[in-house]
Amino acid sequence: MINPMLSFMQLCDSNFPSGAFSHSFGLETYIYEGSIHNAETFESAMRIYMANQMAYTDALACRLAYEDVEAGRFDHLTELDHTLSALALPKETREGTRRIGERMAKLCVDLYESPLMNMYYQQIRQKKAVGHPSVVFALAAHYLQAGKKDAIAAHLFSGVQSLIQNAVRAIPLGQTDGQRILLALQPLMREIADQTEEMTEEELGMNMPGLEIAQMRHEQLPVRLFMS
Amino acid sequence: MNMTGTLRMKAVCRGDKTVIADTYFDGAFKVARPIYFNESEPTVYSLHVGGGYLGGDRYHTEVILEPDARMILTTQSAAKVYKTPHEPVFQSMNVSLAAGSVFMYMPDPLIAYEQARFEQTTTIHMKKGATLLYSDSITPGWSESGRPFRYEWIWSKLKIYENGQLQVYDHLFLKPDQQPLFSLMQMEDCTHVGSLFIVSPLLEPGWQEELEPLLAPYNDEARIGFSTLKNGGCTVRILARASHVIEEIILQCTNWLRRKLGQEPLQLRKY
Repeated sequence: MINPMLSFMQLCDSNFPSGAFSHSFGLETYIYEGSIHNAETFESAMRIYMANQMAYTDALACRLAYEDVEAGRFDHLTELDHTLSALALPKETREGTRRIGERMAKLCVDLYESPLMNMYYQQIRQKKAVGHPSVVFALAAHYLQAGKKDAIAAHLFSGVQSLIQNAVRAIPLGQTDGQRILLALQPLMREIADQTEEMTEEELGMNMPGLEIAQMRHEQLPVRLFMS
Repeated sequence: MNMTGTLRMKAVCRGDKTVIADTYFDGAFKVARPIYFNESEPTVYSLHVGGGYLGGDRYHTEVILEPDARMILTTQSAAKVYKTPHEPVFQSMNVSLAAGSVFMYMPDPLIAYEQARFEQTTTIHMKKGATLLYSDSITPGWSESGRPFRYEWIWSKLKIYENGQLQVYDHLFLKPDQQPLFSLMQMEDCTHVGSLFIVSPLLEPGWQEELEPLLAPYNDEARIGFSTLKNGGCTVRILARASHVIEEIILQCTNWLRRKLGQEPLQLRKY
């Protein structure tokens, strides 16, 4: 039997090849336009991004998926997967999320013997589900015996970590700056994980018009490092 | 549930012409007789007989378009949401579009005043082959302090189903006191937000190239994003500092769709 704690660390590691490396989810538009240009502007943008997009989409989706797994509500999980896809109006964000979700699910099927993960991956292959990283993460965390709250916090951590790594390359920032920001954002991750417990399903995917526009405008950027 | 205003209507295609076969309104909602700016397509103006929306008000609108029916639904003036000290205002709309029908929803802006709370849920069920144009815009009202954005919150949910499948879920939540609305990713120094959705068999892949030159002239006055929806449809999101800018952009997009439908440019004579 694999060690759950070490395997959970492996799942959250930035080397876990989910494909998140190729996506900025709109941040590149702000970098291109100059409104994100150093460690300070990036950190404050991350705080807004986390408190909104990550809290109401990623964290809440992870919680709902985890609860579905616990309760054995697989139909509801599939519905959640479709809702998440419909919520992503900018095409690159929707496609990027789908690719990461599918790739993570495939990888997890290869690594773990989780019947539920296998079922979700088969659904994606048969186009009965779309694929979303937050759903995959919840399934994997549950399989690796992580608690719900740890799963949510870890999902936030891995999402923040990959965006920071991308910012280090794109802005660019020093590696130490990147690590300092990751550490400074920890209390906010904890706060969002706590807050997620209080949210209702009706709040899933509440978004911000500015970020969506930046994600849409990314399609037209003349120079692009990232796919979204 | 006790409704402050209810409006129901059904549009039916009779030969070349669409008629409003069934209209029901109650409470604060009324509709004027449909106006035919051209022979085939009625424009329906809904109006609010009170001065505006107050706390605890509940409104519901139900629209059905039968096969091949065409209809424009608009409002006679902006919806004004005043202070809602105890309960928010709740508004819902259900739209059902049969194959071949064409529905354009072009309301005036929603103006939210100081301490207003407003929740809106719109659900659209359409058959493949129907054409939908949905637009809306949100404007902060004048506040005593002279500062914009003193409304408490606006929560808007729009779901579009095509052949029973959820294709679009637009979920907007604006709460000025909790979030710094002027900041990056939020309203970005703008005050007005506009949204547009078009789902139509007439939109072909590559439509972005047709739309971009129509929107480019507004780049100084507005921040605009557009993208392709899951079902190939079009969405446009607009941030601006004045209602008329959003109205003009939405009008440009509407007339772009109307040209594809072989319809004349839109006229909305308001009194």
